[in-house]
Amino acid sequence: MAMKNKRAEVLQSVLIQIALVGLVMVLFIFATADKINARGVKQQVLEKEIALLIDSASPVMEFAIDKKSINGVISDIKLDAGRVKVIVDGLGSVKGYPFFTRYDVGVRSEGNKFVIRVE
Amino acid sequence: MNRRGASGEGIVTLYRVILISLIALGILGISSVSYVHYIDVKEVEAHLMYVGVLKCLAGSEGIVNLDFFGSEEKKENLLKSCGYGGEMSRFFVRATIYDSSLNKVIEIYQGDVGNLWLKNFFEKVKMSSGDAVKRNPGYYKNSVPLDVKYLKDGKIENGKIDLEVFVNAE
Repeated sequence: MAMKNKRAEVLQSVLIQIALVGLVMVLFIFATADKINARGVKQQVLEKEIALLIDSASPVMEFAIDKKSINGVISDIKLDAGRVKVIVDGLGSVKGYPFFTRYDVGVRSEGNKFVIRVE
Repeated sequence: MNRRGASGEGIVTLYRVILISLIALGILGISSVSYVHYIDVKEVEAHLMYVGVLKCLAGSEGIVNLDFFGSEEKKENLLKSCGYGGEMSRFFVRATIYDSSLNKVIEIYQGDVGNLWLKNFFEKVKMSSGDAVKRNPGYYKNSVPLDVKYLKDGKIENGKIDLEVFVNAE
């Protein structure tokens, strides 16, 4: 009887451990999955899209970017030392992405849009 | 099992759970720093730079003014001569202009030609995943047909431009 009880206790302990390990792994997988679709990726998409638009733009060209879009809420766009920096969903940009152009580029906030003008 | 033994096993279980949690958090921490989905636009940048430099060189009339690139400084700073500023160190751009007999007339460039080994390396060693893929440079080369003209010493002659653009990772 004592042997049976001991076995049951060991089994119970092992089951609890497996459940806890499973829980930790599930949390880990969810956190990783969240990371894949994280703000960093949205920021990268926006910065590279804007950089390519600037790269291909000719003078007197303007393009508008909605502050609220599928890529999140953009609170600021900066063109700093040849780099596009986008603050999306509160995530500040550390490096930004470089653009190249022969022309002057400026960005202004206009209502619910940011307008980038090449001249 | 006595009470002391049960509490001892409970402590061991707790210790194991904490250890596993710490390992899982460690893996998560490392992966969150090292893993960011990378979107590669270097090939597109190479195409865009090609178009920009070609417009700069040949203008709307398709005539390259070689007299403008008379000095060594302008010859070796193609992008700067075209008015590009900012971070140009990732680029290697080379325009080679030939006459109608395909003799080289002039080579105008900017950047380090040594970077091209990276392109050759990635052509030979195919990589489809991993961090090294980020280092795969963007490259575009094209020859503009012979109806491109160039101006040299006041005379317009028929010629051809070979233009190549290499873009390194930022």
